[in-house]
Amino acid sequence: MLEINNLHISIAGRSLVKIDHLVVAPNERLGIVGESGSGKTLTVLSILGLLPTMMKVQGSVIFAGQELLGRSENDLAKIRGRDIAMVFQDPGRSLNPTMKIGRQAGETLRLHLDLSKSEIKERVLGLMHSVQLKDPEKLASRYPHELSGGQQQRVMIAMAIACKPKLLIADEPTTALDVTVQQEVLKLLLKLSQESDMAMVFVSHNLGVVQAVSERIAVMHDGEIVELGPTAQILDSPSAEYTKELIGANPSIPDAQELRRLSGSRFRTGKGV
Amino acid sequence: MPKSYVVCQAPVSELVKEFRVPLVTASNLKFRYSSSGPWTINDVSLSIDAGTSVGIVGESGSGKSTIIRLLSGLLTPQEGVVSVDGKNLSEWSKESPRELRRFGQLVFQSPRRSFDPRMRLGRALSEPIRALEKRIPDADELGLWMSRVGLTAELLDRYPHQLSGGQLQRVSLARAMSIGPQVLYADEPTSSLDVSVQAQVLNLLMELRSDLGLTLVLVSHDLAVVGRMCERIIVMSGGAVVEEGTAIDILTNPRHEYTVGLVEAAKAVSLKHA
Repeated sequence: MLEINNLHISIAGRSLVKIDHLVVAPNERLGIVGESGSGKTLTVLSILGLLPTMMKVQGSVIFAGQELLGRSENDLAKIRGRDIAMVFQDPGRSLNPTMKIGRQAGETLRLHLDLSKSEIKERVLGLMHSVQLKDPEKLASRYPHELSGGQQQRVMIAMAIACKPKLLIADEPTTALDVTVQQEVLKLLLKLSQESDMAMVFVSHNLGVVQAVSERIAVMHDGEIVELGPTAQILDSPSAEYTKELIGANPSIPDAQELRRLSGSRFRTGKGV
Repeated sequence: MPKSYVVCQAPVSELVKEFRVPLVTASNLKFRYSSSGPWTINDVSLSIDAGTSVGIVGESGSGKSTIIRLLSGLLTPQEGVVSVDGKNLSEWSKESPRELRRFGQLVFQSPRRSFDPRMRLGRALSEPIRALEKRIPDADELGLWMSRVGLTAELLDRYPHQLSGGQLQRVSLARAMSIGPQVLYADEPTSSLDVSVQAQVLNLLMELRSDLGLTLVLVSHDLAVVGRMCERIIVMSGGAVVEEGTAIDILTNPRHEYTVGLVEAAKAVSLKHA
């Protein structure tokens, strides 16, 4: 569905991202992990032509048989939201603070589909319901600042899936959310992807979060993919040194046995663990 | 490069552990930011023993950052009493505020917002010693603190914007430690940092705690971090303490409905690998 070949992003002659080959199959959920500055966000922004104009992008990004790089802004605007949708990290910054939620959530539909006002309203309420927002009618008449972070991100997801895109790009969609809300949003994304045959590229620095939603993981470091493979393989038997270090740096919740070991070690003086 | 978590040993004697000496206690604390608003902290009582590491967890708005500001004397409760080392905090704060500041230090979430952008780091690092000990530390002393947190003395001439977030948070740890506090309150000290830098700063925090015998109160929304750093966990929700216990009890056998949900949600995104 999506094929990236020899992608090279640079600024003022300095190389930022260099990807030889990356493919996302239909209905597949691919996770991209790495530290800040590893190039994961630049990579996904380049797919939709959203990089700053000062950056030079070379190579090929083919989506559903069409080359995306070098396409006009008008062409890309037709693809954005309809075929490929994106959810960003900070829902508070992604929503227009002066526009009510209902009108905002209907924007993608207005832009891409020929629907009447009442049809859009009906579809918006249906979408808000499908992202498990309670009392959609009431929420539709509110402004973004009147919603919680979790509710705002659900609105963003509702907008993203409005036109049933074939590919959803989610860039750190749960990083700004509390852990319980994070779990709900991840479950929702997984459910939507499975039910509507939507492929997903999920970007995060958190390996645990990526593990929860992805079938395959690409590990990025210094603008390059250092390892790519099925989730279990990457996490259980990583081959790249960097992947091993990244796994070591991601804390997991210790189990009872480890907790007992940690508890003893914190108090005992002298002998190490 | 990311660094794996290490486990450090705190030099807390078995004697202290056995007798569990309360160092900071709060009784029926109530606090709100505006006189007519809802209580941000609503009837909280807790006790922190000397030499322990205690994690305070909960969602945004649960009151965890407010409670450490009350415990450290940055905020004054409308009702209730905080006792520190057997003394009433509000009285201590009036009688000898310098001594109180020396006793407990804070490290905040955003290192960038913890430094004056126009002040060189050498000057910023020397501020607590200037203010509390009424002396000007020499370059050697400051350089020693920089090396203690894994940084070079050359950085002392730089401004905060010239350092990375991880480096700055190390300097803020050095600044907090420079006056030898008994208690360190750390409010989400690594949540604005990248995952590998987070591991480095947490390891450093554990090493400092181990070497200096600190009591650590760590506020975090991350149960994995708290589970590894702290032996006791206090769970807050809606301005109240809903559950308190050892890390083992809270993470393996949570009792309160809220804690059960919190642990379950955290485990769902906790890294699982061979």
